[in-house]
Amino acid sequence: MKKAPPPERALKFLRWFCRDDYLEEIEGNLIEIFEDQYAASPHRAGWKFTWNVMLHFRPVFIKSYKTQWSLNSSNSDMLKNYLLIGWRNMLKNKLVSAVNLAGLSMGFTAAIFIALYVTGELNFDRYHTAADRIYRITKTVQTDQGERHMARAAARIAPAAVENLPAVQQAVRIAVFGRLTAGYGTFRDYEPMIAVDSNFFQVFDCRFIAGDPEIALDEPHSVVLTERLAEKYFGDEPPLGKILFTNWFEATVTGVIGDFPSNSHLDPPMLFSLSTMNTISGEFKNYMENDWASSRFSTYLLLEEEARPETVATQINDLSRKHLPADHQQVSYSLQPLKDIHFYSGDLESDYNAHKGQMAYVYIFSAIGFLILFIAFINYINLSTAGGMKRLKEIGLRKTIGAGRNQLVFQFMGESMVMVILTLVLAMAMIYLLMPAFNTLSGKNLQPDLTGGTALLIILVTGLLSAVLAGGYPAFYLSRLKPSLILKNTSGLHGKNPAGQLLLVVQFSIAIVMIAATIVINRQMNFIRNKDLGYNRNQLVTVDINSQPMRQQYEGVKASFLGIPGVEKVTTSTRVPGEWKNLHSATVIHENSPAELHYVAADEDYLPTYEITLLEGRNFSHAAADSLKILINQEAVKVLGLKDPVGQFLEISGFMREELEKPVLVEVIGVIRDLHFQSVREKIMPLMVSYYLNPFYPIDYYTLRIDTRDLPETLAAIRGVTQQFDPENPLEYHFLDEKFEELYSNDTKRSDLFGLAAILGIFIACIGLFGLTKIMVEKSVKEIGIRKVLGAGVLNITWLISGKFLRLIGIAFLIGTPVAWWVTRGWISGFAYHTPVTLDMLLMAGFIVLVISILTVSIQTIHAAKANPVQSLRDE
Amino acid sequence: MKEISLGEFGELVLLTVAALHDEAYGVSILENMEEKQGKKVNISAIHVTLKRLEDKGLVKSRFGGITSERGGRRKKFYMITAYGKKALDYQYALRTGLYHQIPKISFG
Repeated sequence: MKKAPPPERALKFLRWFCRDDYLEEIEGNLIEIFEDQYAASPHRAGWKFTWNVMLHFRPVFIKSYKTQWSLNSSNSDMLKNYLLIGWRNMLKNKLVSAVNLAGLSMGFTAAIFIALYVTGELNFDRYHTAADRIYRITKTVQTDQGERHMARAAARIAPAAVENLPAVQQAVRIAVFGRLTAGYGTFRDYEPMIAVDSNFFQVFDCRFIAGDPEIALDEPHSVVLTERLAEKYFGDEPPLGKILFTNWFEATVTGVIGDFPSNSHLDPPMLFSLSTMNTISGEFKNYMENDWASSRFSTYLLLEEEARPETVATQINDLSRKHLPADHQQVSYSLQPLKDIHFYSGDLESDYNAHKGQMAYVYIFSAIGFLILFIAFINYINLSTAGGMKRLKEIGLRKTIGAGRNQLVFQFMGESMVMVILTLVLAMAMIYLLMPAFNTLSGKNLQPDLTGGTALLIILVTGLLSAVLAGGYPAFYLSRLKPSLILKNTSGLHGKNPAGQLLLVVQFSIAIVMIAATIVINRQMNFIRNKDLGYNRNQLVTVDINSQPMRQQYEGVKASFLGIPGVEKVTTSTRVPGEWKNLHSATVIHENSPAELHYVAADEDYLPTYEITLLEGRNFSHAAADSLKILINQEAVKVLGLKDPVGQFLEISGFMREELEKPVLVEVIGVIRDLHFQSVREKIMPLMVSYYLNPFYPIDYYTLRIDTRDLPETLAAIRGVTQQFDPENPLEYHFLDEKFEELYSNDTKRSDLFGLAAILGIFIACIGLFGLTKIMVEKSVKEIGIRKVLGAGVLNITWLISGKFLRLIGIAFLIGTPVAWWVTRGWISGFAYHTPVTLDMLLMAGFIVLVISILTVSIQTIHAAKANPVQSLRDE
Repeated sequence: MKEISLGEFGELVLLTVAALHDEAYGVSILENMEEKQGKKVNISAIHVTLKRLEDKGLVKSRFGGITSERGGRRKKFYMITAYGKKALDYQYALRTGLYHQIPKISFG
């Protein structure tokens, strides 16, 4: 009878670990047991065998390290010798080793951080299970001025798509309704009002902490809170089933979800059921049932596995055309993949998108990451090549007694591998420590998840690659040298290493470019901050109008504000500068040519409060008769082609590109200076200021010019006034200069990050230079001594060593400056108003780098030059 | 005699080796012990114990011949040494001595 074989893998394992002198007995016994049991149950016998093998995996039976690995003893002795020599070398040159370690680990830290940032950007929105099948509908409208793209669709598109198109599995609408006052108990705050279809959670992944995603938003007056908001309103109380007060309606909390991750373009703090709106407004219900034309709903489709988005888009257009009147604007819909939303929504209007990203910055930061890593590598290459020069005797000896070149390469590569592993460990520790700081700086919420499989793999592969790259050159360079030359001992100061010099030049060119860019960026940021905006934004407080009482009792509110001692002037307007909401716009016709003007309505105190200069004509007077009078800015005069604008009549034909039934005739009574209503990135737009008593848009803000002497008291008084007129809603105020600063928060963050990267770059380069000088000085101690004996002065010797490096840095300056000029000009032209890139900024960058490197080099060289030659020459 | 540290399991294995006389090898020891004790014993425990007993000189071993059984692996037979026998005697004397000291009281 043929015996059944025991499980092969277990047997192999046993043979691998088990001591040879025990193996036969153990294997025999196990096989015998296996064979006995096999008849009864082959399967169980197999398991039992494997289990028994596992039980034998204990120290008594395992081959000892010696018997296992030292079979090829000459190899392992060699390995041990390499490690020992490598280790001793590291200890012998503590400073250089430390420089190497610090430089490389900083380089790795920066590069890994940037990699985390970049992968975070690239993986935006991809965490949804169905991310590949989710599309957002975008709408393109043809107008006289060209195409407009919107990230919205009409109300009926979503339900019609699900009903009529088999390829559409789900369709969910998100409607944004401005803000509401929410509250629980006595606590009140403003929150964005965002309502979604009940199948929201079937399309997007949300982590439910409480409630049932299937039914959470089925009923009207339901709300699902994010964890953050649940805690904000309900504290420790379980929110499920509680009633959330809002100033529109009351809603029952039916679910709590985890906060949306930082890499989601959707970031609603709470989600109301869309059906809520139907029950509180009959008009809205009607709208929901019949609207084929509006652009109000962010609409997302979940397509079937094999569906083609282009086909679906065509079908949606067909559906839409069937229901739209023939004379309606030329409208077409298309589908935008969820994954494209982050980077490719730049030209979309009405885009509900918490974080619009720019591909350019991904490239820029990737480039910076590579450059920093490159600088660190160059450090390593130069230091180990130069350091290796000190080991020439060792290399020569090894070669003479028969070491092949391969062995030497292997030795040096191995050393760099050990080094890289050490630095990686250091870098990982630094990343864990610095992660919170980095998150604050970058405004991201990255998780230090380096233990995850892919992250670790990437880090290890990078490490391995860098060990080969950085260790490769010194290994090949040093191993190539001829032993006869080596043992003759060439002079330290004149040994040629052209590649090393080239690398040094490259390194410092990069550093100069980065420093120059930082200087230019900082100049530009200062330029923006201090640019004359056309009005005085300091000491202005804006108070948002969030309720009818505040709006309707304008006279009373204004008088009460003025009654506060710290308040100097008060005005009201529909919009304020630095505004984050959409600016209104009006289509104005003059002599048959239409122009699009930004539109603001304000009272007669607007100009004095903001300190806007009136160039011609007059301001509004306190009279209802001014309701059809307007002020325009210089740009508007230019755009409309007006000569002698005061007293001219203009025709307003529409607002926000929607035509009025009947055009309105308005008279220009004055011309004001151009002012920056928006970020300085944008060009100044033509603007009209109309009197606040008009039927077009209601007032939305009060602006108060205050003196800052007793700020807390003034603010308390302002709060008192708003509470008096509107006890329901909390006061919402902003300092205009801070609000304006927010417009640049992304730019500021980026310039901070960039500055940090530049400092890191120059730092790494300089510690490299430091180490290099140190090696150089040590090698030429004797030469310096002899030169001194023969009469060389300190300056002379300092120059002898420093000059070599400084010449290279000079070359780096010549290369780096033009590159810096070219790079920064590209960035800065993204701003409509920018400071010119002048030569002095670039020269300053070069100067800074030069000074830092002179300092770095001279610390070592002056010390060496001043040393008494007796010290270095007596022991020969 | 010098004290020999012999655990309960070690003593049982040693006894089994002695009892099986010339036929004691891993599997036979295992089967014998399982039969006598009426419970499962793991082979790895027996292997470990045999090594210890051999190190202490309580048993000695020899290889049997190659057969077609056991995947062609030789059996390793264990025999008790004189020293091992002495150890068993000592243990036996110790226990019986103690046993006889138990007062003749009815435990009924």
